[in-house]
Amino acid sequence: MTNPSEKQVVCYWPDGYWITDPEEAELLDSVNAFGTEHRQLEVFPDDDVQKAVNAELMS
Amino acid sequence: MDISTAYKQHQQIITLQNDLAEVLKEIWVTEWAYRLAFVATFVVYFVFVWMMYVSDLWGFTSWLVDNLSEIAALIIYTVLAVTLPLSMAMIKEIGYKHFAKYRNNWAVVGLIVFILAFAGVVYESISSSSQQQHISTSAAEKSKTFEVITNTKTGTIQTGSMASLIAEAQKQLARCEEKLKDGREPHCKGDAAKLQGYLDAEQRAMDSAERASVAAIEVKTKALQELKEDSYKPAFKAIRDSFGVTISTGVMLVTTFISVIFEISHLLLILFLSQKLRRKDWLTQSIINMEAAYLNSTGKAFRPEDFTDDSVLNMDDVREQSPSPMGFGMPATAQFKYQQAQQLMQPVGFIRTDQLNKPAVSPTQKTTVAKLGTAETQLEMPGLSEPAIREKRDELSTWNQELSGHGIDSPADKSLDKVEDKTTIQCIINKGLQAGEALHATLSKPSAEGDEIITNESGQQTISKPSADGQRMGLYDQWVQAVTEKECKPSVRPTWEWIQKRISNKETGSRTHDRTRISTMQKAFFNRAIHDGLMKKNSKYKNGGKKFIWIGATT
Repeated sequence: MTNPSEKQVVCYWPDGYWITDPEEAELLDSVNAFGTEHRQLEVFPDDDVQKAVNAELMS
Repeated sequence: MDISTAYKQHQQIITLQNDLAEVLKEIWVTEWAYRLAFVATFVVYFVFVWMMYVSDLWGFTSWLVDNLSEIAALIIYTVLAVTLPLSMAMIKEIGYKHFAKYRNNWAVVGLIVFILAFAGVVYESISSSSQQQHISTSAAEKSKTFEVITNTKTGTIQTGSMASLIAEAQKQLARCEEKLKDGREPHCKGDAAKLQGYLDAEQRAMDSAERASVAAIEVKTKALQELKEDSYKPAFKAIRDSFGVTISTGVMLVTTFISVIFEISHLLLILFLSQKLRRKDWLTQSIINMEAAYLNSTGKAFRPEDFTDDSVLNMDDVREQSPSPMGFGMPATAQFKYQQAQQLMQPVGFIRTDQLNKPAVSPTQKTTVAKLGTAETQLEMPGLSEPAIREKRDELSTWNQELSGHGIDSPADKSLDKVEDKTTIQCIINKGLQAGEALHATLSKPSAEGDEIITNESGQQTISKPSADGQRMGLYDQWVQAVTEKECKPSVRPTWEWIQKRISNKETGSRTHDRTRISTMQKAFFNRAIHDGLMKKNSKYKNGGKKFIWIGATT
């Protein structure tokens, strides 16, 4: 069970696509899968991840 | 590069590879012995089970004709007679191979092997002893002596005269009794005694004949039995005579002994295969280690034709294949982070840094993929053997000395203090300088294929290809394009191979992307394609069908 108070890491790319596995994101970046490198963002489990990513990209 | 060390490593790899090929051949033969033993075990078990549950194999046809109406029993026992010995033989085969490959506690191995071997001995001895009985009985029954004894009559001798005497005495006694009623005879005791005498005599004759008949049958049976025993193999009769046991015991002792020998032979396969597999693993690991050492020593992957009289060490190959190529400053292939880290730890440069325009470090520094495999930049160096090195002992130098002489900064690496052929070093340095200058001249020029190496903020370099609208395409976009243009099927295997071809075809490092990592990328591509609305999971998926359906556009 995920603790609601614990944040989880989200790896996202500038086009808004995101995943939750940092190792997979590293692997994808290592072959330039999505053209750019990912960035990381911490969100609460209840957060709308896509909204959070979009907000981060807009800021 | 220490040529003599590389030469030794090359010869050791060749020796190890030859040894490995020999061991693999031995393993192949051993595997065949396992297969044959499996078939033999199955047949022996089958004979045993068939004999126990169905019928003796000899005479089975006539037995079958008599029992064809028993269909249910026939089917059930036939299935049993096939599956039971097959499963038991397979278990034995699997067990013996398992112990050859995997290490186990000796007590456990001993117990299981004992059970399997004991079962084998019992089955084999019962099967083979029954077969021996059939062989000897058949041989005895076909002999002429057996036929003569069998046809010998043993019966009672009928005494016809005694019967007529008794009848006459009975008649006289009857007349006497008639006369006695009329008072013409005082008594009939004489006639009665005469009749009784005849009857007693007849009974004694019959008893005597019966005893004679029994004795004759016994003699005949014993003769047949002895004839059958005499038909057994001399080995069985020798055991019978030596130990004073019956022929059946003798047969059991011999067949058990033979079964034990077969089981021991079968068991020896465990030892043989086990040692060969260990040897194969050790050789494989040694070859890997030695090839890695060879890669370190020479900067190139091992090839059997290296160091042959008519071959050369192609330094252009060295530059293209080595994760840390000596003397060319720029990798010819896209590399991953761990490879770049290795490279950064071992910078051995041949480019005059004072003559290069150091470009400003930008987040996405572009460098065209270097196409250095040309005739101008190819460097060939004769494969020097140890005798050749000795001949040139008076013309030796070190890499550090020669690099300093050319005004090239060299790293603090002890390997560069090793003494090498001076002419060779100078030749390599000169070629390296030429190649470095050629490389510098090609910087920022787009390649024919348009592939680019992107250096990001962290110094990481990745492949990129410009799209039609000028934007860089990632590997995923290239895959989507390939699927759209039907160059790659949007299913697991083709995508997996497409990715592998794109990222691994030029890799020669010791840590290439393994299958799991490529599978992870393939799954990530599919997830992204589903997210982008290009693909969806097949809700009607069945085994053998498509798991995913491409719903994006195709040309």
